[in-house]
Amino acid sequence: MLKIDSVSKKFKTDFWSRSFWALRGVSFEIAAGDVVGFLGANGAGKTTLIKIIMGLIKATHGKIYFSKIMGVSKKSIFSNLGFLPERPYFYPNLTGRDFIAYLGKLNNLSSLEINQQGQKWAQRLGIDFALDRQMKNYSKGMLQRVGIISTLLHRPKLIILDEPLSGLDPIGRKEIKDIVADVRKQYGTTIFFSSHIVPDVEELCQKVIFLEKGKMLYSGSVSELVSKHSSSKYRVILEWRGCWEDKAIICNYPNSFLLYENELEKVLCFEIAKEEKEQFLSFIMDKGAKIVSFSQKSIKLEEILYNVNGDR
Amino acid sequence: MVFSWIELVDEFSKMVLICKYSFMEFMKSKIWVGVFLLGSILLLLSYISYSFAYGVAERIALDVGLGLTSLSTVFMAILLGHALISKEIENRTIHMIVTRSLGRKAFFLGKLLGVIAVLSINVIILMSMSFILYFLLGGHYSPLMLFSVLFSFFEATIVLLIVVFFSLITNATLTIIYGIVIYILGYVISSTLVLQYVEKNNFLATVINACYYIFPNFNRLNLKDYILYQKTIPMETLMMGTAYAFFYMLLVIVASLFIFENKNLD
Ligand SMILES: Nc1ncnc2c1ncn2[C@@H]1O[C@H](COP(=O)(O)OP(=O)(O)OP(=O)(O)O)[C@@H](O)[C@H]1O
Ligand SMILES: [Mg+2]
Repeated sequence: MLKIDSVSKKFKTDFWSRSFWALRGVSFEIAAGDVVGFLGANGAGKTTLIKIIMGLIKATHGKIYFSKIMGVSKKSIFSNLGFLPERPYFYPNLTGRDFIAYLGKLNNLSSLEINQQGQKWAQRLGIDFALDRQMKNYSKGMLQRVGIISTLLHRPKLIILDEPLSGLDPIGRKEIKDIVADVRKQYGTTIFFSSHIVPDVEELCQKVIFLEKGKMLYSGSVSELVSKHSSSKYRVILEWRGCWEDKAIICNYPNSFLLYENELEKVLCFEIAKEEKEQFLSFIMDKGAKIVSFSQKSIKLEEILYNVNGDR
Repeated sequence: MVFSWIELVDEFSKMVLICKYSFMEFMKSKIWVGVFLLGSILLLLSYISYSFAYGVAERIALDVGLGLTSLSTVFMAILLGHALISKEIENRTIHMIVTRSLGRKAFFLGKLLGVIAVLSINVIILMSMSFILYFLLGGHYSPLMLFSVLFSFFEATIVLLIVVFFSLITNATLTIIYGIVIYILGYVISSTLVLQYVEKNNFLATVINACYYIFPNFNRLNLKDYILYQKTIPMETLMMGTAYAFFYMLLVIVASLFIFENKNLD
């Protein structure tokens, strides 16, 4: 769908200051139907790369390729592309309806299509009541919603969203996330969106691109990243009120590891390998221990990325 | 790149669309209140000059009216022109538009046409006010009047284009300053006074000569004297004036398009 080939971008803020690299040799590929999250801290270069993809600014080195199904000419590619910029801004004196019609017509949609699609999405996003108001009276969330509508209006094959969830309340975030998932399911749309909130990406995406200070540190599937870093250890917390001899036997159980012991609560916490967990559990239950909790030592994408960071 | 008529027609329709919606945006803004306020002041000043003038007082009124019209239209051209593209970039509205299925040229030309439409309506409103007052005060119709409307519009459009051009390469303050300076120079440079003065100085003469070709010559577009003193004006002068205006506009538009096409829209 989209291929980024060793894209670098050098910025020179003003004549005297030293130039710096906002992007350094970023390369990755997005396959058709993928939902790809684009993670990175503030100033990592996400918006810069998206602007380069959208042809708003030029890369210093490197190239962007769109696949043939997007079209061959620049115009046909862009007619299959839906883009929502970061903190979108609109024309204050136009109404939401005018604006949606404007952008729809720029993509060669008929008035009928615009009305139908616009109405459908507006209802879904709950702003159909405000479409006839001037946009200067819109709240941030309403503007973002109109932006989303105009992005989806022409049923693009590839959608690029720059921080679509920022500035939205929890309900708004949920709505947009649901829409992203729906659009993907219904139309097989490829989606690429940037965010600095890891759980959102974890929730929605199969693939993630992680950018840090202009360098790409990870690109690949989310589950692979999580499973590679998550341990195969399980954690057992048990309550022990028996004699100390039996406790010593439990503590010496092969391949188990006592993490901590709370004397007052009579609670012990063990770590046990995945393969041994059933045997270990039946063993301690035989001895008369009460199981307080049993869980996989899970690891969050956030922690992994944090570690990826630290590893460097 | 293969040239195709369908593509061209499509781009043209996009340009018209951009023009329509930016015009709509202007229409709904408060700009027209300003225009009518300006018109009222203009009428008032014209009438006052009529009341205090001796001789052919209605001509003085027309003189003041036309002068103020062209001045205020140029003022408006600078005001609207400096923000036309730069505000779209600043507000990032441009990001939503040029990433649709259209070329940057269509966007740029559409925006220009939108603001030119606003300017032309402004000229027509203000000029008609002056003319109506002139007729009421007993003035007579002359076909040159229509040409003066047209030429006033050309003048404002040239200033607009120059200001838009500068807005692509520099900041708002400098753009406005350049706009005003070029407007003034456009009248001053070709005046005989300057030409006489510099004749003695070779270097200055060369500089001024160069400027003469670079800066617009607004004296060519000023028909006020002809109207006021009922002199006839040869058709040739009118045609040359029109041709000059169009040629100058075209030049600035081509230069601006070239810059805009390659501009970073940050
Ligand atoms: N036009 C520009 N001129 C100079 N520096 C720029 C320009 N645009 C961006 N930068 C710099 O490039 C770096 C990356 O910025 P970018 O906006 O891409 O970050 P981001 O990942 O989108 O951050 P955020 O999460 O805050 O949106 C920043 O250090 C920024 O200051
Ligand atoms: Mg950003």
